[in-house]
Amino acid sequence: MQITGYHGTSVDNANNIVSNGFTISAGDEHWIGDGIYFFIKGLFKNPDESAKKWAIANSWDNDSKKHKYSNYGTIEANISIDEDTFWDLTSSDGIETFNYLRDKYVEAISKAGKRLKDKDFKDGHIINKAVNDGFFSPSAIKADFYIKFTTERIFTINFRIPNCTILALRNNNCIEKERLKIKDKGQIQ
Amino acid sequence: MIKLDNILKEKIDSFFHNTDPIMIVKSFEKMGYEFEDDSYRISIINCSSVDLNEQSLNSFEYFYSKGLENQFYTGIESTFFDDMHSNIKYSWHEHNNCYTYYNHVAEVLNQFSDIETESEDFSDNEPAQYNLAA
Repeated sequence: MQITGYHGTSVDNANNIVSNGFTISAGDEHWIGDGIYFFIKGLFKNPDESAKKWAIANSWDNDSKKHKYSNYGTIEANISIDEDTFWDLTSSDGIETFNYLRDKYVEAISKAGKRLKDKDFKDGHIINKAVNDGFFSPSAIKADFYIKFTTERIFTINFRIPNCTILALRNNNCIEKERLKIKDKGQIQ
Repeated sequence: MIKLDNILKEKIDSFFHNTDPIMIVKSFEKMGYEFEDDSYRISIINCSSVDLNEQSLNSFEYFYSKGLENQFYTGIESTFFDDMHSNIKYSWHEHNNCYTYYNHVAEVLNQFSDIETESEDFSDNEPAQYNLAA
């Protein structure tokens, strides 16, 4: 399966990625677990615009109240996905698998006589946990997601209806490195 | 495409069957999650027919000792509201020391007119002192 994905970051980082390739970012806080993230076509027609919006939103450092970088860059990548190891969380099969796992973890916690305190479960935690517990090893995960870009952050807009489709690659061999290119770049106002 | 076929389902079920739930909690704690005790509610929910057994007695004792028995009753009430159990078994009356407990719970149960409860005659029973000193 071939997919075109768009990744937004600083222009310096974008140039570095085009030259040297992606590295997988680890972190349970990430939306659908560890991986290299792309905006892709799905519910929305302009994933490159989402990548740009993300690059701009992510430039802001809320602690220092300054931009971490002043120029954004978006990368276009051609991605080949092994369908056998593709976890599609926009499909009923994919969602069924996720929900089954989620319920099993919650049930186990309940059986231990515990419940979560002051923190919500994150989708990415369940996904990473499932992979670490060895149930399967997805090469790519796709999901429709609500992501807070600049406007959503400024006006504290917290919706649940998704505003983009994302793809997390857990294996950078899926990316055709020689065809990586800068899609767009510009100054952050 | 990853999907929940029988092989994957069995793999997942086997993992959870063979893994101590406490270990799963600990693994989530390593991710930064904090947990609090929920055994009182679980003990009630696990009483599928509201068999008020040793487990729920312990739960009651735990809450009573903290002066929080109302939370226990609230738990029972919400369980009834949620599940609308119709067959309530009072197997727990066999516990010699739960007379007080029985009265308290019966009081709660009687609020639900659509739940048929068995009438038990405890008149011959000595209202035992529920040992809450532990």
